[in-house]
Amino acid sequence: MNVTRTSPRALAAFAAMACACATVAGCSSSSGPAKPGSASSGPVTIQYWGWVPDMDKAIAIWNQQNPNIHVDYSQIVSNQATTKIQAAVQAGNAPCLAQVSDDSMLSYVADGLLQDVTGRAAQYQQNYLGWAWNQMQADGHTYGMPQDTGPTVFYYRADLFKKYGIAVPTTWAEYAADAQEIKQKDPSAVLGTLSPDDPGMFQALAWQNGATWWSTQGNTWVSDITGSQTQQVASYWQGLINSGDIKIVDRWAPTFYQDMQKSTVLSYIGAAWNASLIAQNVASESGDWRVAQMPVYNTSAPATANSGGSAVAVLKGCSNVAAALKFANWLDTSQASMNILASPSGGGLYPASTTALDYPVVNQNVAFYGGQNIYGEFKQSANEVSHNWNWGPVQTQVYTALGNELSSVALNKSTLTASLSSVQQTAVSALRSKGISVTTK
Amino acid sequence: MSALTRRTTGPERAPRRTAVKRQRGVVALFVGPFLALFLLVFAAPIVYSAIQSLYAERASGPLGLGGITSRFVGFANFSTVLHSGDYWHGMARVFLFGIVQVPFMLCAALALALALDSIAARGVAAFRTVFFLPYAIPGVVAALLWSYLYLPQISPYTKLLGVIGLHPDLLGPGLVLWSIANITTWTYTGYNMLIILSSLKTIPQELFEAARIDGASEWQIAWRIKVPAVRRALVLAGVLSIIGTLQLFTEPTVLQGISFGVSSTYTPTMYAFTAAFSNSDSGVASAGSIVVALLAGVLSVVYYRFTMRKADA
Repeated sequence: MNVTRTSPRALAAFAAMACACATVAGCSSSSGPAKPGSASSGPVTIQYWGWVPDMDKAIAIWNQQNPNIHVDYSQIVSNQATTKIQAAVQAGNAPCLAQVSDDSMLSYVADGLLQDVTGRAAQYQQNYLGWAWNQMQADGHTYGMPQDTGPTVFYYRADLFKKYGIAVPTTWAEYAADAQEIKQKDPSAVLGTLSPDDPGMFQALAWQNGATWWSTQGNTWVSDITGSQTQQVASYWQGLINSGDIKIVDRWAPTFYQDMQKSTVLSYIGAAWNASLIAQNVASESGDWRVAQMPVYNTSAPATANSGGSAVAVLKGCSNVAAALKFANWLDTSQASMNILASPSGGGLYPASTTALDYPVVNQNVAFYGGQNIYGEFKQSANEVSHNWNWGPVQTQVYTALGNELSSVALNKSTLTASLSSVQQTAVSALRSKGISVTTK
Repeated sequence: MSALTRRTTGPERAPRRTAVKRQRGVVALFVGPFLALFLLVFAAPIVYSAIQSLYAERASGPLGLGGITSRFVGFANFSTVLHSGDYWHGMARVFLFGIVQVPFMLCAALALALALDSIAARGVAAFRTVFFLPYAIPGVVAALLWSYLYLPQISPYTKLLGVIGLHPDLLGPGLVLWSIANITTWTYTGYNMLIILSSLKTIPQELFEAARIDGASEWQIAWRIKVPAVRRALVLAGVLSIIGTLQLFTEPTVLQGISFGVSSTYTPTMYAFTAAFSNSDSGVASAGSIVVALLAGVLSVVYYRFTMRKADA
């Protein structure tokens, strides 16, 4: 061992430095025209940071068609975005627009990184899915425009379902029965998985059941992570864990797809953006996979959830909000942009715009899924996402705590139901330590 | 006479004074860049971190959505760290790690150094390079490399162990600490061996000749002459290892991705990292880091005093 091991502090300093360099370089081109008041006269430059693949191609089309609003795009890495944006806003040289994941929006607002654009954004609201627009808001104020969503669906091996004589489960009761049956017929195989390193997925299961972990009462946050809807989900999955009918496995471990390749994991519940990941990682099973709606608790009022999804948010200090929003709306709704961003071989995102859901690019038959138009399933799920869900301002802490708890559950040191109160405690004390008033339901 | 001497010494003194002045200027010119860099890149970050540890970010406005302000909170961040179960669990973990791994690694390094230094050794240069090679591999790469060797689905080791009926869960909560210890031992044994080896090379050859004439065996020479002579090098390697252990970060962070047994606060530095980058609480992160630094300093001094007193006695 030695003393040269990179410490977190050194990393932070390096990140800040790298960031400063990037923004300085980016700024020089926009410092001239981007002054308040000069927006109407002459061309303006809008800086935009994001991480969607092929984004530069979409921006090139915009820049060609809109000589008066030039967009200057920089690609960033999604899991470094927050640190980078924080540093840039504090230094006063942040871009006008940045990609922000839905679940971080409230944290960004609380940290003072976003700009309230309620008035100017209102005219675009009708272009988007209602629940997706809700993700852009905090306490009734709007801070950006939705770009993509991750409606959750059920991916499954049609060939193996046939082999084991199992029907696609439409309810969670059927899912549990299928899981048990598969285990009986082949002890080496399981119907599905639960992943400690994907706390967002467990959260989505609660979201589907109509839970919301956060609401507000006057000036106070109300945390309801231990609410009855979430409890129901927790005890359901704890039952499946106890019986051994599902498998606990890390979603982002390099071995995740090996179980699929060995045909020992028969299905996966996840967001739309998993479609291309599965296709790429188990290419040998082309034609065997299909997509269906995820199981529900109540067939008379089917609901789904969202996992992942992001916004084009307006950062503090943006002086050309009108032009920035005009561009953002084009980017998130126009066919020219979506042909690139939503292409399975390009950006691969699933649009949050209602009109975009009908574009041919997101209504094609996919060979890997046996020629099925999987987008029809995504669209149905996107339209049935539960509207109850609200984000809180300490989402990263919630994910970290939930991830640690799920690991304990995987080791049989804790149960899902017991975990919830621990996660809630962490979330509540995180809010209190920031001096924010919070109570539990 | 006195006037004469005054006249002669007068002009003599003046140039000396300007020479001293000029000399001072030259000294400043040479020391200045060092001092500026020292203050800028060494002292300033420490001072900044210490100041930061006394501040906390507080939300403002309705529902805390009005942005954040920094407020002086005294030692509240230190209190948070010192009262955190996660932090002390992490600390206990690295202590257990250090007590087992550091002596093991130093013994291995000493054995390798003695072997390479023995007169019978052949191909010394080649072996020295091979042993040192793991240190040249970046820590993250080494950890990734080993993580593939630990994953039960793809590891050749688990297959080999399976043949003889052993099925250890190298990434399970019981063993993962030792899987991490294995990575650090693999990486740093060669480095420590080099420290010891360079110390062995400074022992005068006459001592060995004298010992041989007196009938000492090679074993006796190793134990009675070589080991005592490299004690200072061992102490240095020990101090570096203690500091490194307290800073344990890269390996557990990489293994966190594949092991349920590694949490986000597995070691004290990971605790600080999580505080800084997932909780955006730079105050607690600074306080946590400062406690690690202080403990590393205290432990190093205690260890140094203890071992050197024994050496002198």
